[in-house]
Amino acid sequence: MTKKENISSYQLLCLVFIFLVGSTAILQSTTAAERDTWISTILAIGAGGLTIFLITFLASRFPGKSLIEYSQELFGKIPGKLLGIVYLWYFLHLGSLVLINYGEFLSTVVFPETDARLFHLTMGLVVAYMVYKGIEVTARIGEIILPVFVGFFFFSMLVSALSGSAEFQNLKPILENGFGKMLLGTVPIAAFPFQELIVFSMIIPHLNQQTESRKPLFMGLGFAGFFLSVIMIHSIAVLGTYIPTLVFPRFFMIRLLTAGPFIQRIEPIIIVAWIMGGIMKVGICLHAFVEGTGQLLSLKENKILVFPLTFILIALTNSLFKNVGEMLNFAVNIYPVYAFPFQILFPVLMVILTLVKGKGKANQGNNNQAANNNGGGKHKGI
Amino acid sequence: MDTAVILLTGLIAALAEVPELIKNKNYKELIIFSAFLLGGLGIFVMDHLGVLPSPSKAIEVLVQSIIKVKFGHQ
Repeated sequence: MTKKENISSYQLLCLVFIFLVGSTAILQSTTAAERDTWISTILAIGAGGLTIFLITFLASRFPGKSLIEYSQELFGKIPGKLLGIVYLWYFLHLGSLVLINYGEFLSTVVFPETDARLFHLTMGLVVAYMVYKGIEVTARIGEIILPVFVGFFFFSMLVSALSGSAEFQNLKPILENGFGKMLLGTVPIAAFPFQELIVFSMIIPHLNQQTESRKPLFMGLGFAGFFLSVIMIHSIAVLGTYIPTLVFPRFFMIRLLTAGPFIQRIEPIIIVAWIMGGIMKVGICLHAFVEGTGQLLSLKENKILVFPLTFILIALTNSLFKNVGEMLNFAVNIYPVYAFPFQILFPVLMVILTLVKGKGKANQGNNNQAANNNGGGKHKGI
Repeated sequence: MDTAVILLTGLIAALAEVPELIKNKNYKELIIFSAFLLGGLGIFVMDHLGVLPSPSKAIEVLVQSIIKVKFGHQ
């Protein structure tokens, strides 16, 4: 039996924050809502709240169990395992989508002469080592990274304020394309990053206070949502309607910021923070993938799978897209529809089944026993 | 180059895990580990040779056969 690893509420909050802000910071761009995208971002936080509500409800009904385990209880053995495999594919695909964001970003604008495969390989192996060391280590790294991350972002804000580049007139007119366009622009932001929180259904069983899972998740979502809204407003205020013409708007904006005669070209500092965030986000996805595979095969030891599965992750990342254009088109136009079943449909189905079948009630308040069965998959006496 | 690094990493992972698995007689884990390691390395070599198909195109066709909406500018 794998040793039970525990993380604290504050560590979970850190992980949620970095998971949400991590790769969004580089890819964030305006959507169909154009200059109202900041309103869309605020609305999309609500969609993230819905996902958190679904996974914490399921976690409270099946304490100490992950999504892969309770899907087998709800749907039966074979259909549950099939759903588990579908979710494993989603975790793998999400991890490689995040990894390719970084590979393409670095090889397009930061190191134009270098092949993206090198970044996939190096970042992938660092992530693999982190996941191999376990969720406790990952959470502790998150605890260290969070202040660095927030500090660097405030630094960029400060430089921007000193340079006086933000023109808040750019935010007007509000709702110039109508309410419908604004709602349409909310969909891709809800799908990426807010509803990707479904991955945390694999992390919640590690929380040391199972009953308190809702608070850190919602607080992490709140902070990250506030943060993303602020940087969206900032980007629109500085760049205005030029945003759609840029590939990585936030990066180009930070590169142009100049405060006084000596503070300029601050982007290397920001890139460091972004890469840290990317490593954490890929790490959380890979952790979910490895642990889910281990639970599906009822292994005694999950960590033996880390390196083999990392090879699959890196190979998939190498083969995903040919260029940045394909990647951005997929992220905005295809991904929201593709991810809908994983993020909303299946969790809602599971919640309805839980309520109809009345499962999990008898086990409430009996966390330790359920937690000890974690990974075994043989004790189905509920 | 990256394939060589991956093969080396695979070798190190095998050297780190296999002796302990044999010592503890975890034969099920040993079989699963070997299968995944060979599978992972095989997929990576396929990628190196350029024969690994990309899932993106299939997903794009599937999504656009269900619903055609443009959420962005492109």
